[in-house]
Amino acid sequence: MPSLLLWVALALAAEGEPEVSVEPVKPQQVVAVEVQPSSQRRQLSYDAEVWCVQLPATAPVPSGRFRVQCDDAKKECLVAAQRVLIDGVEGEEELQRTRPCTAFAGSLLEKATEGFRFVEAVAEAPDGWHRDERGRIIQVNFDLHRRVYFGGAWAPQYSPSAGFELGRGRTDFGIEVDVANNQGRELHRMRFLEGSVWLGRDPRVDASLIHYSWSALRVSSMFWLTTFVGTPRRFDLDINITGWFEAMRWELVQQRSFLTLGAAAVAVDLWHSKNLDSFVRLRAGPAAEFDVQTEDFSFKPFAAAEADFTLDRDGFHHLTASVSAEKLLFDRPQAGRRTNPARLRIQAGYEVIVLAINDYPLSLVFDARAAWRDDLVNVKPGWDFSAHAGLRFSLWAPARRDAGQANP
Amino acid sequence: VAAVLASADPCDPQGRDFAVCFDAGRGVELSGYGGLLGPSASSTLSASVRLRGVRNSRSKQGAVWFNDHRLAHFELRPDDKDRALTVTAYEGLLRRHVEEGYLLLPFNPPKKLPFPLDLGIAFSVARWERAVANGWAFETARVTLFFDAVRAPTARFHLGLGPSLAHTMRGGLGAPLTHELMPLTGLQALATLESEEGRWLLRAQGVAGWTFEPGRSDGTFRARGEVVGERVVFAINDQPVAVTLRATAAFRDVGGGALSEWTVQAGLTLRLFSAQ
Repeated sequence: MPSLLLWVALALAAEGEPEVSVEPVKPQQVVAVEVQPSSQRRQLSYDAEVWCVQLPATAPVPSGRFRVQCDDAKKECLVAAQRVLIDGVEGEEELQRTRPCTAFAGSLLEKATEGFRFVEAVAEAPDGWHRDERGRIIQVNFDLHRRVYFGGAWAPQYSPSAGFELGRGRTDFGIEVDVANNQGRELHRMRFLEGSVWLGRDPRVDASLIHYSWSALRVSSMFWLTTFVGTPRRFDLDINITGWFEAMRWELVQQRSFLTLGAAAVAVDLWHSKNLDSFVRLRAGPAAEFDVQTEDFSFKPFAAAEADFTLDRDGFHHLTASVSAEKLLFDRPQAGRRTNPARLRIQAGYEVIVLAINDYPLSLVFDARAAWRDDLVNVKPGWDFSAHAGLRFSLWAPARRDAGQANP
Repeated sequence: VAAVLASADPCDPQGRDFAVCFDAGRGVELSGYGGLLGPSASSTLSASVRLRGVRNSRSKQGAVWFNDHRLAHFELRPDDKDRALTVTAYEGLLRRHVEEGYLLLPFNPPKKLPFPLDLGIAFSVARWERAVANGWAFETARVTLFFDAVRAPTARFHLGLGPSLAHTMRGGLGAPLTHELMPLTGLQALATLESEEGRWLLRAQGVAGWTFEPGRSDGTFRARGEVVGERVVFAINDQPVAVTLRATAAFRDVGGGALSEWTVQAGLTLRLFSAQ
């Protein structure tokens, strides 16, 4: 028996709201609470009712305020202090992110006489959060698709024409807002002011003002085929068509600016996870582009294949990849470049959360990019390659929508 | 139709609903065919809107009107060698059905004689035919009074025959514009046969007769006809797609040059919004 029996005076729970001060009442009886080593303390459930009880002062809990949760089936009540512990004694700081507790209307003594055990425990924590042995709350699950982020990375570049450029850096920024509705059956992805700026011999910018796409879990198939040869039969075609839109994307490269005024695409989710966070999709559509130097408008059809995976339940590991192609049509002929030029971009990246500061995650970012283009005047068509390694700090980043109870 | 709907199993074992009955007289009809135009290969694209209605006569109790309409019928042969476009603004068939038809002779007392035919009228308005190498023809209007011996109490069956009145203009080959009139000197035949569930269809129509030009006493015999057979083989999102076989023929009636031709083609027809 690892525990030590500590006699604590337990009184009947007082009337009143749970989180407000309750008048202590005179103890009627004492019942035993089994004190557990900190490593073996269990936790109150966030999904079950929690009672707030006022008890006579004890050495570790001078305020006498406890949270109690009983399990009738196990004939067991878990008991936790209402305040954060410091060196085993409660301090002034109230527990954070607890569920509202209710006043206990019955008698704990009666429960003791019915055979209930009273066991020292850790207060409950919401999904995606962990409460340590002192009662402090820690976020351990992060949704990196809901965040405001910024960061920097070392960004060496290589192109056959210019060779290596190692002294190059990149800064990233963006606002990601994923909104789920219809009981999580639809996920609307919005991105604001998202992009990167490269600093070095060839400063570059690639940033967009707003971007929107969505995915949906459909109750029934969007497309079905019925055959009428023999008995009519229906075959569901699992084609999940969605949409993708972008407005005001600015690209600065080799001192040329291209502004995509608007882009719209039909997207087909080849696969998506049940929570819609991860996906593999194809998209294609038209866009209108403005060449800032020549003040010329072009029609830009584009197509892309892209993937975004959240690899673990707690949202620490993220993998992205994309291949996109676009071509300029109806562009004004320019000396020094081909008519109807094209661009091809390939990207693969990995982001992992390494620590959190005040529950805001700091992540390591690695990615590699390759691009081919022939749209730059007096620049030989060709590839350039870049790699990036850096850090990214994310604000907001709440727990994921389907975060379960933490299991650190 | 009700009997078919009742007997058909509209759900598969997984409980998913899907349409099994269609109305071939309703919907947006898109077709593509390939086959022969005379001895040469040819293709045709076609689009039109079909509407169908049934209503009781307001003036004659017990009489029912079965009305079929076809709007904005475009037919394009895209191949360079025989490129042609035919556009018909409106075609309609109105058939008046009664349980017991009779003729009332104004004797004293009046005498009723059995008349075992439904009466109907078929219209065609603004049919424009343009062939790159063959000028153009514009049939201003055609009206046919027809008699239906089948007298089916449904719009799915017609078998009518009757005299036809039409006016046509031809031009575009450097020759002067000509006007032609068919003053009830032609016969038009119409036949429609559709299965109850709308998956089989046979349509045939043709007109033949003499046309006359102002200032000329002799007439010119002209004829044209079309036979179409369809079988719905699958549907996408309850929009049926049918395998279609079609044959057309014309005798001295195509375009400004009033040429003869025939086609035999096979293709697919998508009829949107025709599920019952």
